[in-house]
Amino acid sequence: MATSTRRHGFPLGSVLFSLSLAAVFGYYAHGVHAAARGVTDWLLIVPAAGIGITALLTIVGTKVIDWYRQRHVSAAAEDDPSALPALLFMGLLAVYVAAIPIIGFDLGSLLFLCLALYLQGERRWWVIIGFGVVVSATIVLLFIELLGIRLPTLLL
Amino acid sequence: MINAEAFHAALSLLGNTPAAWLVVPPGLIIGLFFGSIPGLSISIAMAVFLPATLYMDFLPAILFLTAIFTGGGFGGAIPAIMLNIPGTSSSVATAFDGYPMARRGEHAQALGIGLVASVLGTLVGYLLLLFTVQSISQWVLRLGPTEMLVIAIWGVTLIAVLNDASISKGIAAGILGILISTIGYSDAGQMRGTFGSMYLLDGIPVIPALIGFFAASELFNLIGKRYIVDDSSLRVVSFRHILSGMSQAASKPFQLLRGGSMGAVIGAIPGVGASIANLAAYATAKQRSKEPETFGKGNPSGLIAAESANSSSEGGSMITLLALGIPGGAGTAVLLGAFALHNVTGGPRFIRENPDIVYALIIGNMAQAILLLMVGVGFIFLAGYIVKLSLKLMIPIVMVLAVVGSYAITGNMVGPITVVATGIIGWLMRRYGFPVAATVVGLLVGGMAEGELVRSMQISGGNLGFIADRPITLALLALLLLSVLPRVIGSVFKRRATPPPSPRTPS
Repeated sequence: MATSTRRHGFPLGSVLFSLSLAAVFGYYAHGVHAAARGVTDWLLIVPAAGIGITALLTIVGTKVIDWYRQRHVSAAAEDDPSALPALLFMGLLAVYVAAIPIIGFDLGSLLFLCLALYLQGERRWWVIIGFGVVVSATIVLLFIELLGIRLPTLLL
Repeated sequence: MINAEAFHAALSLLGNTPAAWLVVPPGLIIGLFFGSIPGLSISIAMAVFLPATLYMDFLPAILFLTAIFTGGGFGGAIPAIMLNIPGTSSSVATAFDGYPMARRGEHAQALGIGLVASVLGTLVGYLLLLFTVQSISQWVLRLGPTEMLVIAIWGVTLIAVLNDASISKGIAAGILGILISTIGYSDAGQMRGTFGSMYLLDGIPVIPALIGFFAASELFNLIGKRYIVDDSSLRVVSFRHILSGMSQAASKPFQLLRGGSMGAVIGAIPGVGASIANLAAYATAKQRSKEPETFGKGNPSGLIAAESANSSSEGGSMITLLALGIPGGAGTAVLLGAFALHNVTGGPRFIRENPDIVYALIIGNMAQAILLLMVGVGFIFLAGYIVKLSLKLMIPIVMVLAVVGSYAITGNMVGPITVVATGIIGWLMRRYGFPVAATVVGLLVGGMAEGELVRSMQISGGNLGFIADRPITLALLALLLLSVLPRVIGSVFKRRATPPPSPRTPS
């Protein structure tokens, strides 16, 4: 694995994620408590959220202290794989799911499979289309015909 | 103990009912198939094939469904080991060590270990049922809401604390799961976290959330990689490796027995079931191991504990089904439906009046476990070829299966949306070193914990001194503290003794 030396950076992503989770816990617990008609409505949620927020603030505190103690120290930096391919795939998946009610599982799955293959570097058009058609038709027909599950479709 | 007369009657009943044996192999294959496809659960398989038992006699009908149950119990381990996707909620801990083994090319051994652990676990569970069906039915009745609450908290705490991430991250992840489980209508009729959407009134669907947290988040991480196993020389599927894994598992009878016994006892507790058995046995094996740091990195002992426990819990859950008429989980709930379909009611009276049928069911299920050994070897040989598939093709296929499967479970778009949302949250959690497993356990036991907490409060009137009069609760609390405190104390001392970690290292 290739390494290089660099200064320890502030763990912004980790801190932001922990603080966001803490905010969500607090918002949810407050909402439940405000709308509660009795103690049983929030009996588990409010104490659990309190414990969760404490744990998350401890994580943030630990991260900041660790960074502060080592901010001037150079360290061997590990390769951090880019998140871009994963983010693009997540976006594609979200669009696929959002489009299902409009274009159905058959066409939606076909387009998703083709685009997912393209996103991962496949450029031969006959592989992309062949793979998309065979896999989407097999899966959708398996669920509809064999398992008797009603799926919204456009073509099949 | 065993009623010898009824036992002999059961043997002759099974001998004179060939149909009871003919339905077992197809049942096992159906279970293996459904269990091994993420998104299709054992309970779905049992429910789909429940109408097929309408024209069968009672014994073949129940043995057919329990064959699906047994096959599905191991089937769930296949995607857990090969893809880090627990095919069922009871295979969560199976993925912890099974998947790292697959990643380093030991997939065939891992599948062999899983199969033997499943088979022997099932045998242990039903053997215990055979000897204790009469007396355990009395003991289970003593567990009240406070005991169930402590068991639920134990389930989350163990997995939150006994992981490679920091304790704070484990606790935060576990709480996230508990809070997600409370979304929807409460028992008291309050809408919580639904944002006014009628689709969320029933809460976040568990199986799609499980698929998202485990499968989708891992698949996002695999984008850009070519194969599950990087080294091409390790992408080999051979009977020799499967058999070597099987003998490896068989050479650890104590671990099999410990996991099997834990699973059977936990499975006997209504509402707890195989998911908690799987996790609790894994956590215990890790705690007792001389090399706890190797757990989660491909230690076969973790796989043995997890698989033997979830399989033996089937026998345990049959205790409550037969003795009390209470289903321990979704699978036994379908079995209860089959009982009703044949005008049979489980419970103490059923055991008293039909001891031969009870013993025939137990012996039939033990025979099923041995048949699973043969059917399962062929099945996992085929499943082992997953490592030869290019990830470029496999990731989109599994993702579409997960989306379609989650729609099949919920019957609306809540399932697929849950897969995407929990997949993204799970990916972020993995990126920042939060244990996703703790969230899933919180999600699985959160509903039960809330119900039991409310019932405990109603019974005690809010008086904490009420616990002092419940010795089983106190004993369970003591066990909880004993299992968690060493890790907490060790973690505090470790942090004081070592310099802070590199900020980019996920921990």
